[in-house]
Amino acid sequence: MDFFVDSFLSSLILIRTVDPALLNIVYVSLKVSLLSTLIAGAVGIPFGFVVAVTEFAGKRAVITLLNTLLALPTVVIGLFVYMFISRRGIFGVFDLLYTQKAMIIGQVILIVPVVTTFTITAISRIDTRYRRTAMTLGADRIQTAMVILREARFGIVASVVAAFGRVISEVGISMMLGGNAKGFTRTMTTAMALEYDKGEFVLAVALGIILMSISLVMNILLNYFQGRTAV
Amino acid sequence: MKKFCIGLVILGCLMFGITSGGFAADKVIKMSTTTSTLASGLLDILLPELKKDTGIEIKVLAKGTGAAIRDGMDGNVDVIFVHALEREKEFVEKGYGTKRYAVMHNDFIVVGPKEDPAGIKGMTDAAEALKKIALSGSTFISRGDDSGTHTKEQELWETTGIPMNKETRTIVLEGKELKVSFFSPQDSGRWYVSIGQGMGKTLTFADEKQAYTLADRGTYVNYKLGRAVPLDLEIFCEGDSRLANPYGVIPVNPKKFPHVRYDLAEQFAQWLISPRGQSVIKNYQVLGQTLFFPDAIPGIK
Amino acid sequence: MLYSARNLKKTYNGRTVLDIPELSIEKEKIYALLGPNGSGKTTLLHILSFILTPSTGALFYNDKPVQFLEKALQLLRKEVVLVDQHPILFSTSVHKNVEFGLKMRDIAKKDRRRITEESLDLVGMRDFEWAAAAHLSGGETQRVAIARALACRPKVILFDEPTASVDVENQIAIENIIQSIHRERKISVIVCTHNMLQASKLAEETLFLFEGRPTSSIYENIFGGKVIMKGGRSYCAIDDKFLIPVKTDQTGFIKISIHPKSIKFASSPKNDASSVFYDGRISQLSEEKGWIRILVNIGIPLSVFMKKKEFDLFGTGIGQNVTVKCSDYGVEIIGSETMPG
Repeated sequence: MDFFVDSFLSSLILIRTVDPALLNIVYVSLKVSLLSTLIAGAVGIPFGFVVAVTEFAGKRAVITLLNTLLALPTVVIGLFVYMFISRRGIFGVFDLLYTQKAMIIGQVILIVPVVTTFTITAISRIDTRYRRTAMTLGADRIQTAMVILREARFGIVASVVAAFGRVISEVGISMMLGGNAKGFTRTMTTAMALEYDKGEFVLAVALGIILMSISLVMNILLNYFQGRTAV
Repeated sequence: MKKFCIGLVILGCLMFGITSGGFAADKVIKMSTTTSTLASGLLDILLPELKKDTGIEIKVLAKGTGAAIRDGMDGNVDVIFVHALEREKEFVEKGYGTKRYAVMHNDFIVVGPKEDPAGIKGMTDAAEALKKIALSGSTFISRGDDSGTHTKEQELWETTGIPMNKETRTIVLEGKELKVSFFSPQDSGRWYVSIGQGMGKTLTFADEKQAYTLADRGTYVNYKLGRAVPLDLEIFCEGDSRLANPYGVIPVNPKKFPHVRYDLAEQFAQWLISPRGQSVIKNYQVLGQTLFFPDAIPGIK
Repeated sequence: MLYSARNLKKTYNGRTVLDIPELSIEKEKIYALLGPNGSGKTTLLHILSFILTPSTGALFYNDKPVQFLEKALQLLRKEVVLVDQHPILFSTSVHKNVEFGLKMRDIAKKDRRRITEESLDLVGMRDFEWAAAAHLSGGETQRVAIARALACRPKVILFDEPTASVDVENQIAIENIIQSIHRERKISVIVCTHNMLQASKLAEETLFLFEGRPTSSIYENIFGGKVIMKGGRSYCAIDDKFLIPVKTDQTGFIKISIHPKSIKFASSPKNDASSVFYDGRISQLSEEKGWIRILVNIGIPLSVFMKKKEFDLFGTGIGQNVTVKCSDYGVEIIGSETMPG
């Protein structure tokens, strides 16, 4: 019990004193996760939209593939990206490995399927009459798309929130592609894994508290948006 | 419902019986050790011999030295096998361990890319070599995981005379607030990269980034010669007396943690320093290179 | 001609849902498009509003052939607006909904404001301008949808069952709105409905659709059955029980329509060669301009249409038992079926 209380109290001191190392880790985490989410959103939302509204051969196959990719373990993504960007890999010359860019590449691969499938679901749920109504009122293709996106907005925002929740809490890709370099690629999750290896639980618990708070906020947001979509 | 509950209890008892009973019947102890003993391949040779001689089986938890010592202090393991002399002494003094037995040593080396941008090839003064790396701004990868190697690296940096950064953190231990500090070179900006990972990972990281690092010879040789894709790193600095790396084994004190299996732990330690154990260590080679040198009976064959 | 079409067909997965050899619709009139559910009315309406492309055939709008390419269709849609059967409003305010078409037409902001208000006035929904569209009732939604279509200043408005989802009060209001927009704005209107009364009240011209094909009138008493021969005459056997006399050389399953005016009440049943008699019970009565529509249940429901004078002769009412006479001259074969049903 002492052990638990000690670690917990120490963590609170760390959070209270706004430890610079702690702050930097949180900063790197948020920065990398936000950028990944932004890029994945820019790719996944239009992609999901196109898949949802167009009929083409192999559409079911694409959706099945995306659903499969949802379950892709982070270590598998980490490993494959590693092999491409390692100094001995095809993209080795760009010196990407163990940088924030590498983490973002891996995380984008992780969550593009999340954003895409959630977007497909959100758009498919939207009544086909919206499309017809926009068209008959004179909207062109882009304007019609905007109408459908607006009607599906809560579902789409929920997809982005879910994607962010996924990347902020993942550890495999950040560790394998970021390498946990202090001040550069050390995120909340990799720092927690490291501190555990060191047998030092103070920073780990502090980060755990922060991470859980972020996850809580994300889940509250997600619930809110999913609730709005259901209405 | 009642039947279901009874069934559940029986199942629980059975499972508990299997796991705990299994350990009680067999001679199994838990050991926290550093990644270097595992990564160098020594334990793969040592442990089967131990089982043959004594029947003792060891469950190995490979971590950084800091975490390994912490495991011992928390009573999570029966014995620790680490390489951080000062901290091991402290561990025994504070009563967490019964006695430290000197088992063996190997040495640390400074490795780096073939091009040697800092120009440290052939240097024997480790501190001077590190200083040159710092002054040339060449990338240096630090374990940064509070391991024995990391402890050694911090000691060396302190002797270079380069201004050091001290990072202090307040922790609570047994109700008292304490300050703990970590050192790293000042103005390290972009060239000093602390990754907080094991020796193997640090070597591949240095390899990827073509950077310098401090490594133990055992792991380096294993990664340089024992892999399909050998490391692209060379040894530039070796032989400094400050680079010696002694390993000790310490059974966890049963007075502190009555549940530890002290008898078996002590038997394991005694076997390690016996002529038999020392001989196994002496004769362990990776591709013709001896990795560890016995300390209990130095002249053993 | 506003619209004309030749050999217009729409097929889904090999099934033809619309097949129109010839069609002409004049300008500035109200047309009613009549037919039972599933007769292809909505499909035709979607093609005429340029949001659905026919599988084959030619369509002319204002005597110019329609190019079924997105760019060309989009231009045509600026003149033709469809009001859906159950219209859906965007999840914004009523104002924004009505303004939508104006924005799509790049109308200046102050004009948008004025036209939006005028349009809402016309349907009597001005008070709801700033309400959230999601909170409106079925009738209110329908009226806003009409205002939204009107705001686009179209030359043609197509209504798909405009009163299907509203109460009687709104039904009358909507019918009046349709008539007034046609009268005051010279907008051509096509109303799709399955309500014959509504069609006769609103429309100057009526088009009938049955199973995707235009017909001269609307079919009633539609049944499917197998052709059987008995005593040298052919009958259509419905549910293996009811034999309806039919003149045909066909075999297998056919679809027939019994003209309601051909069914007579009989006081003394006497089978002759071309007629059969069934006992039934009157379950519904309604009056339409000197005619009486009677629903007689003989085991299957039969719709009968006769002059009020003729009906009065029998002095029957709801719940009374009657004998009806079906004759082969009133039975028309309207299709063959590959499956029984």
